[in-house]
Amino acid sequence: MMNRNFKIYLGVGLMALYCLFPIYFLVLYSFEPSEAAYHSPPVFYPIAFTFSNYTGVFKSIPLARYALNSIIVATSATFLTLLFGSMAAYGVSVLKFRGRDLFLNSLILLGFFPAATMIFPIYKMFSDINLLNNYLALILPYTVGGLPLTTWVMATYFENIPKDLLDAASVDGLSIGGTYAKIMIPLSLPALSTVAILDFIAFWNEFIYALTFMPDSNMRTVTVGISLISGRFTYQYPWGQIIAAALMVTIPLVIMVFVAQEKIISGLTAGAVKG
Amino acid sequence: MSAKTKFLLIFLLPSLIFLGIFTYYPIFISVKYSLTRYNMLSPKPVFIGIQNYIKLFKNPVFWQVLKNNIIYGLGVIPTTMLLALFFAILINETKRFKALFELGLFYPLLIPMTAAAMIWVFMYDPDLGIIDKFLGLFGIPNIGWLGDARYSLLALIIMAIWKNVGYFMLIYLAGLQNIPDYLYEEATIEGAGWLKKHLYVTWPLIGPTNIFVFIISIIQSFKVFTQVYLMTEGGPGYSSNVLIYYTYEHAFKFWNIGMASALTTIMILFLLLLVLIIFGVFEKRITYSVG
Repeated sequence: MMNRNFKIYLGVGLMALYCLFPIYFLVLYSFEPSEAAYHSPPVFYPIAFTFSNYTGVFKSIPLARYALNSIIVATSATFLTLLFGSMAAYGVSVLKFRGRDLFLNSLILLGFFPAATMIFPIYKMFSDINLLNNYLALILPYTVGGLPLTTWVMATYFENIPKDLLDAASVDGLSIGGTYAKIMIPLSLPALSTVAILDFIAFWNEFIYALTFMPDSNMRTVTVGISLISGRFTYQYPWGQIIAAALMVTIPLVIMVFVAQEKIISGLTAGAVKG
Repeated sequence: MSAKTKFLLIFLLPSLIFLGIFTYYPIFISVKYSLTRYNMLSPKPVFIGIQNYIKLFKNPVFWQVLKNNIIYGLGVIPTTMLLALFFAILINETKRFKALFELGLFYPLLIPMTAAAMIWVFMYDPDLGIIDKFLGLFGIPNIGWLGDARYSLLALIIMAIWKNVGYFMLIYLAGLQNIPDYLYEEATIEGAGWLKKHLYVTWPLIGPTNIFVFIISIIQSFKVFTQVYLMTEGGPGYSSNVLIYYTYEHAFKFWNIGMASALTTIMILFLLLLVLIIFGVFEKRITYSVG
C-alpha cells in the first residue's frame, strides 16, 4: 500500500510541477533584474531582488488607467448580463410558453459561436454610429456574450425552486414582476454570484473585441495594454516588466479565487452530465 | 394581450434585442457582404455573387489554414482529455493537499490569454527561453519554436494543452464523484490492479463526461485567436494561421471585407452544422446545473 500511495503522490507532484512551475518561474523573474533572463544555464532560484520591474510597468504603460477601463467595462457588463439573463431565465422557466425550447436552444447555440466571427460587422456598426472608443462598445457585446451561460444556468436554477413558493406569492397578491424581484432574485443569490464571477473573469480576460473596438490608447483594457509592452525584437523585450505586468493583471482574479474557489469550481463544472 | 403575455415580453425583450443587434444582424451583414466585392480598391460594396467563395476554395492558403485548424484540434483535444482525466483520477485518490493541487491546475485557466501568450513567447525564445535551455541540458540543439515553420503550430498546441488541462480536470473530477465506490471495491476484490480498475470501471462510466468535454473542446479549438495574434501572427508563412486569425487579417490588415465576410459565413455555417449534429446526437445526455 505504501508503494501505491507513493506512486500517486509522485504523479500528483509531477502534475503540480507542470502547472505551478511556470508560475514559480514568473514570480521569480518578476523580482529579478531583466539581465536574469540572459543567464545560461537558467536561474531557478532568487539571486537578486528588485521591485524595478513593477515600478517600470507604470512608466511604460498607464496601467492604472487600463485597470480602471477594465473595471468599468467588466463590472457594467457583468451587471447587465445578470439582469437581462436572469429576466430571460425567469421568463423561460416560470412562465411556460410555446417556443420556449426554441428560445433556450437558440441561445445556447449562439453561446458556442466564437465572438470573433462577429467582429467585423460589429466594428462596422460601431464605427458608423461613432461608438468606437466608448465604454459601451465593449459593455454591450460583452453583455451579449455572457447571456447564453447566464440564462442557461439561471433557468436551470429557477426550475428547481419549489412551485408552492410561487403559488403562495401569487396568493399574497404579488405580481409576476414582484415575484421576480422579491422572491426569485433573493432565493437565487448563490447561483447569481457564481455566474457573476465567471462572467467577470471572462470579460476581464477578453482580448479581440477590446483590441479592435478601443483603438484609442487611453481606452485600452489591461489585457490589451500588457500586450503593448514590447521592443522591436524579442531580445529587446523588457521581459521583467512584461512578466510583472502579466502577474499584476491576474491579481483581481486570484483574489476572487481565494474568496470563492468553491463557487468558481462549481460554476465551471456546471455542465453536469446525465448517464 | 393578457397580463402574463405582457410580462413575458418585457422579460424576454432585452435579451432578444441584444441578440438581434449583436448576433442575428451581424450574421445577416456577413452573408450580405460575402456576396460583394468590397475592399480598398472598391470601397463601396458591389454585388458579385459567389465569386468570393470560388476564389477562396481555389486558394491553397485557405485549405492550409483549414488544415491547421484541424491539426490544432487533433493535437490539443485527445491529449488534453487524457491528461485531464489522468490528473482528475490522481487528485481524486489523494487525501492531502487536494485544494492546493486543484488551485495549481486551475491557475493557468485564470491567467488572461494575453498574459499567458507573452509568458510563453518568453519561454519559447531560442536564446532566452527556458524550454530550449532545458532541452539544451540534454544536448538537444535550440529549436526556436515560434520562428520555425515546422514547430510553430506545435508550440501553440503545447501551450493550449497547458492552459486547458485544469478546466477539464475539474469537470472530470465532478464526473468521478458520480461513480459509486462499491464498483471499485468489487474490482479490487476481483483482483484488479490500479490500471485495470480504471480501464474497466472508470473509463466506461466517465463516458458522458467525455462527450461533454469533447464537445466543448471542439468548439474551443475553433475559437483560437489571441495566442496566434500575439505569438506567431499566423507564421512563419502560413504555418500557424487558423480560420479566425485568417478572417481577422482579411478584415483589418488587408481591408478585404468581401473576403472576410465570406470566411465568416463559412465559419458560421460550419459551426452551426457542428453544433446541430452534436445537439442531435447528444441532446438527451446533456443537462446543466449548478451545485
